[in-house]
Amino acid sequence: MAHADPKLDITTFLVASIHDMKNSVSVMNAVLEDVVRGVDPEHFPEFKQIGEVLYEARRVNDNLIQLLALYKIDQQFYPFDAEEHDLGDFLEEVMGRVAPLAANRGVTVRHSCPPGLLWYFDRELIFGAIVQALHNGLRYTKSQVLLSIQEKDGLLELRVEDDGRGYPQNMLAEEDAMPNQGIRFATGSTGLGLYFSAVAARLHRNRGLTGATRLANGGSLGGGAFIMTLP
Amino acid sequence: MPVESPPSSAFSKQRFLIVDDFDGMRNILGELLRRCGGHQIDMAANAEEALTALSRNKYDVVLCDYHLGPGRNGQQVLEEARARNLLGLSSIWAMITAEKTSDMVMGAAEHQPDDYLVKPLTEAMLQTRLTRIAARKSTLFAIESAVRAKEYPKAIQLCDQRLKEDQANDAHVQRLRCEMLVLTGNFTEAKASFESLLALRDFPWAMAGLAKLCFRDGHYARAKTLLGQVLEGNRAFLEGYDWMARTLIQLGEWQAAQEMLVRAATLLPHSLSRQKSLGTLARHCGEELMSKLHSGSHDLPPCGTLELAETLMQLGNKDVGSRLIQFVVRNHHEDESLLRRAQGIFDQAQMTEEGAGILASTRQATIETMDKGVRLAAQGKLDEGIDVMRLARTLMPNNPRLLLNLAYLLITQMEKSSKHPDNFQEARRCIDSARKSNADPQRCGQLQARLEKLA
Repeated sequence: MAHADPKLDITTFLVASIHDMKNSVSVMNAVLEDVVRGVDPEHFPEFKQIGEVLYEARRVNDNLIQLLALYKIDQQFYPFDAEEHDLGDFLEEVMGRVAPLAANRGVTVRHSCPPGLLWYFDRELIFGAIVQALHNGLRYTKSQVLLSIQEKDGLLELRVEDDGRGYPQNMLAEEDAMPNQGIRFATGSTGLGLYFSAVAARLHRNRGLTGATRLANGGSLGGGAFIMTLP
Repeated sequence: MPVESPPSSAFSKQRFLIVDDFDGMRNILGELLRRCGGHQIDMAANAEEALTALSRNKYDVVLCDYHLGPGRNGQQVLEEARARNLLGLSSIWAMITAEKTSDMVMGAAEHQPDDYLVKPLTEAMLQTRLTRIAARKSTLFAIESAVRAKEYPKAIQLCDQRLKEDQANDAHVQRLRCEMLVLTGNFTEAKASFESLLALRDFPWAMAGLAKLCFRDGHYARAKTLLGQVLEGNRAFLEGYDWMARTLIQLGEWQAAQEMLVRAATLLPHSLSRQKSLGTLARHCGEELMSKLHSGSHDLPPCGTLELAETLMQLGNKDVGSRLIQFVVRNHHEDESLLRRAQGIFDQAQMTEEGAGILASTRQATIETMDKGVRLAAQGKLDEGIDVMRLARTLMPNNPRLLLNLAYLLITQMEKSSKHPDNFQEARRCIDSARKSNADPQRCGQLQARLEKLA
């Protein structure tokens, strides 16, 4: 029987390990957030350092989740599920995820979304992409990050903007927010997040239109802007 | 900015049941609920404990992990709880999962939980989702009661009413309504609904639903287009492959059907239930193919049938594969190379001896049937001989020897008594089919000549 004896190759172990690591990091995150929540920064000098650890742990968690999703998409067994979602609820969940880190870093995260806006999208993919963009914003901004969601020209537009220095010129040149610079270990930038967002957006198709991502500078806060549009 | 939202008063009044096989996870969930304001929280570690708890108490919210270790999974617990009427109509069932699967995404809305929550769970997620589900359930209370009571016509009527009054939860109501229409056999209306929904948006469930109805009506080309679109967006949708392969069989696109089956086979059959589904898929496709073969209206070469049979066996359905092989043997019992290939398939499936037995007895039975017809004819019992041959033809519509023997008997009978138009046509069809099955052209020609003399 072909199926009775599943082939255990290195990929199987890699995927299983990523899964396992993701769960561990997830527990670490939850514990760290609890610790941060309970302390008064005035009387806790290590508050900032814990914030750094929390940020890095979040990054690892985001990366592992995205790696797994990309693997499934690549192997063609990602169960893509574009359902109708209330963007207000979505926003609230996203804020719930990024709030502890934002509070720790002293960054204000503002958001805007017209009430009652409904759209069809794969919640897990878009949630992952937007949280990643916000985490990125928290890292590069000076003081604030803005998430704005609106319907524009028949598409859903999600924008994550900051008041930092903006994206380097070579990253803006891309048609999609898809990195072609290769992996840069020195800066810790693998381009995974942007690649994931672009793939996630492109899976969204409706009546001949396809989702997309792009990067821009300026925006309403004068820094970098990550823009995702979904049909 | 506000990090913590005030505990929702709804949570403090509600009774919760957490079902998870890991006590660490149960504690995390319990803590999350407490932070949201909940305090009446019970725990269950497996299906039995969950069902016991459900039979003792009425819960407002059940948070159940899909994977519960060995034994029943979350979906089975949900179905049993519903079947045993352990869940109030306003009870919320939220299925917790590390990842969604195609079954969760494309399965019938009627049997689904109220929502899927993908890990990691957060407070905000519990707050927004549970609040929204509760609101949806209270507005759709009447519809849900009718669905659970299996009063489908009433449910349809309520859906219609609801859609006229309010656009909120539109897609959910539309999906339920379409399911009910199909369940009650209102295919025309269901089709019209799917079409009008698809004019608004490419809903995969509507495309899949419409494809099944198109298949039912014999509109295979349309079914193929729709299923192709569904599978492009959702490549792990096993049921989609099932319908697609059957559609391709009906269209006679053998190579594409074969490719579809091979693709389905590579969909990581890592779970027992998935293997079972693959077996079901193989059975559906095998039976579709079988009826197509018996109808005689196809151009699938015998080696193509064997190739499909081999794939179906690899998908885990040895029975239907073996029946297809027997069909090929009945129709080509003198073709040694096909018989060798058939034996090779049995060898691959580790059924060497069993397969050899099947091949030998099928071949023997074929020869005996044919001999019986010929013997009866030789004894002068032409009509009886023809009856035996006709019966045999339904089992082996492509066997050249049988076809020519039947044509021979029909012609002989007509030469002796009188020409019967039906028999004349039948003899002609037999000769045509025999030619297609590579019968000896000389013998075909001789019979053809005798037949034309009768014209």
